[in-house]
Amino acid sequence: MALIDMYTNEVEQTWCPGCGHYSVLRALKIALARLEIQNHNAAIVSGIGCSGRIGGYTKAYGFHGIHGRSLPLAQGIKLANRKLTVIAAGGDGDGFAIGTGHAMHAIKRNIDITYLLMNNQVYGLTKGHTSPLSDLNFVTKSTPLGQVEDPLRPSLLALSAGGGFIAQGFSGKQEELIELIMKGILHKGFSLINIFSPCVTFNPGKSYAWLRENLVSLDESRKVSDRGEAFKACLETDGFFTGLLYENDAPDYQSRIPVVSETPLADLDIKNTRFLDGLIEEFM
Amino acid sequence: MKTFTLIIGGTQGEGIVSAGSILSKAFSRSGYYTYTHRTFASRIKGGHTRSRIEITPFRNAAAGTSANLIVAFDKKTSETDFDLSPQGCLMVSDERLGTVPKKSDRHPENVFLPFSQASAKAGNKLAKTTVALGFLCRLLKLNEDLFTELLEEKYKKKGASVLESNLDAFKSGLEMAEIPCFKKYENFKLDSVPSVKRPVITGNYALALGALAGGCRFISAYPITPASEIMEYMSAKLPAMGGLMVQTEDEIAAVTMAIGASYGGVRSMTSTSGPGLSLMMEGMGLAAMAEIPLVVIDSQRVGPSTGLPTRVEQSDFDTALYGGHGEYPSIALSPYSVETCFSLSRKAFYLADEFSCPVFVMSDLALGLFPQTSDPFETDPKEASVKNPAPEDLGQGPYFRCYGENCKVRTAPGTPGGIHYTTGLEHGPLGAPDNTPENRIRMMKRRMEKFDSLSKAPGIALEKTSGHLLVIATGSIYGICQKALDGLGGRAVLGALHRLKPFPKEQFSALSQGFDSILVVEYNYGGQIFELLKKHMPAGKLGNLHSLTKFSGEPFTVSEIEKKAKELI
Repeated sequence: MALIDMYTNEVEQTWCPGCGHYSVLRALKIALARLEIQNHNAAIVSGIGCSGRIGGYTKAYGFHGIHGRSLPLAQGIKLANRKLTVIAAGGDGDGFAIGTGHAMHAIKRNIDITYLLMNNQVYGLTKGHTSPLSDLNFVTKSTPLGQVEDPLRPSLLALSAGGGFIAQGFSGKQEELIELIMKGILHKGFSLINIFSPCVTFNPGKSYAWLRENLVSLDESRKVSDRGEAFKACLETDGFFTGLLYENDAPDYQSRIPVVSETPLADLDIKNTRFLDGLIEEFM
Repeated sequence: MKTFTLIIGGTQGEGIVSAGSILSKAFSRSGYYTYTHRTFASRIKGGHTRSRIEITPFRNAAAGTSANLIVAFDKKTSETDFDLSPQGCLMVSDERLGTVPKKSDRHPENVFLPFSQASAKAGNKLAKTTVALGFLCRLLKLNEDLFTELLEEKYKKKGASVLESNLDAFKSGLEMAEIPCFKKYENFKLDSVPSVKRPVITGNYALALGALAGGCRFISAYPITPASEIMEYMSAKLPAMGGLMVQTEDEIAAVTMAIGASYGGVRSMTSTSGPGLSLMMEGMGLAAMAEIPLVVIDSQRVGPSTGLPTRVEQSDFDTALYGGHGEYPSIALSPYSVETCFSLSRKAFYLADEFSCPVFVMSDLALGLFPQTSDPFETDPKEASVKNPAPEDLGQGPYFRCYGENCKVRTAPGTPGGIHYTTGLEHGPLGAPDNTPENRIRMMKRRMEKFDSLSKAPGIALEKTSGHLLVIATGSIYGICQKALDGLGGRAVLGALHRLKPFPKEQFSALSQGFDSILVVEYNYGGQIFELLKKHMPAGKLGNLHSLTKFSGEPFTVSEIEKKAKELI
């Protein structure tokens, strides 16, 4: 059996032909398989939007939640069972419009999950509305005169929020994307991978060709633990780059909690209630 | 004396609450029951706070109405008109307050005592309430060792000098009670009771303890008055048990993270009050649609919006019953005493597991925050635990569930052979999205009708099922009703509504036949429980259903309830 088959199911895939998300899905499945993670130990959590379907197209535990809330769901799953590999995935609207607060706090909280931002700089499933990552002057059904707000830059925000692993990939650069996802999963802490994943239907301006032409590859010999350099690289490229931007070895959330055992919460014995007498005594 | 009402008031942050807590523990350790009603402002230092402690030889969960003893540390207390006890009332004020308060027939004899001065002399200006404790201990002829013990428990961890100065302050208070003018208060002595040790606890702590007993090992929550103690207590106790409390960025994350943890295989909850509950509604819908167990405790306060954050109301029932979009299955429980805060909170986790749905536990501010002496908790759960199935038990597929015997439940991630899909979209019995009308009808029926067995179980606790008048109450009102109906010589029966959803239709139908009148007592404007009962009242008997509501933020007085009940008898 080819490695990727473990993660392949029979569900019909309904993304538009040429959608960048097919490549994100493929890269994710290959990354999980290359890391030899058993599919029953992987949980893929998604929000709402075209990107939200990724969990359904992967043969693993999949949780398709509510718009903007994939990160709190994914964090809860990892806190319940630290042995799982938890992947959160969502579009740019899901992560940086309705879910911005959760994204910032997930980065800050640093729970060991991997967040794939499937960024096409447009709302696809609502049939073409502007996104907080859309370019200035972008014309959509909700911005007929052009977008008048400047876009957010997720990697800059993540750096400011204290992110410990920040990378950017491109659906059109498969091998790099697979490696970045593998590194993200291996990173002990929260990892953000902002993936340029073209929407061929509603954002033709950000086509494969345009991205191939304009995305700068980060210098691999850079010191990735230098935050100042990372900010500089972000600003110099206006956020249009691929590669590992920044990584540190700060301990993840669960390592910082002084708990006695490594037992996942899900495996705790809850039948024994003898502790209660002592706790009630404290109120006497 | 049968009952004794003691009031201690002053400026917030001066130790008024601590003194009240030591007093209620001292009485409780002596075998009495205490109930403390607290008044406080939404600020930390400054502002008036008052503890009104009702001391009785029998179980009581209602604030006293007429004062016996008032200890004033601020003018707001010393200048307030109180209902005075016919058995006598004394006020002692801190000498520092200076001016003599206005005289009226609702004002007792006021004796100024040098509480502040004595605490300064003991080397601890903060210990003036401890001086008052000494005074009260001697005046009410309580056991000094009890207070010394309690002071040690409280101040030992703050260092030897803090403890010593408090003990000195306490001693100087003892002497103050020897002043001859207090001789005439010798009747201030409670009937003696057997010494039994009982906990002094608030509903919030009882709810948290119940959650731990119910197997909850994860809570994600956002701080809010009057629910914060639940998350605080869980965060103090869970780590040693291998569990975890996470303070999230908002209530939306709190509820969603708890759903994630529950899906991950651990019994999970969140706790909040009205404003947070509003934000949580989308999460409740997800848990209901995806059939994930979840417990949400709501400690109700005055709404809408920020309302009166430190005052009591019961106006979120409609949100629990009808809030959120779409139609979805859920369970709503309502504790009516600190004991049932414990037992229903515990039960909520078993019900959430058994029915794979969100369970609301609807408490209120007065039940949540006011400490009282409690009878023993039932710590031996009879509920069976629902176990995560082994792969060989999966039968028709990992997500497939039927309710009742042969119940199969969702597998947690990490279970080999249990892979399935979970979604907030309409889905088939195995979890895959399915938008066909046939599937929609089948799944809606399955979700909405899964409680048929539960709805047949009683949801109203009462001792008699027929009579002249049935008074129905829940939350903190129940205790006040108990006291009110005591005065009616058994002419009214009190029922505690402890499950609002699924509504106990059959039981209520029988009660509506068994009683001539039914009175619903609740804290809201519209009569939310009244309207719920009205739906289930037989058509010809609607005139028998009566409503008493209060929405001022203040608790009912015993006499308000007594008066209304008398009208109906």
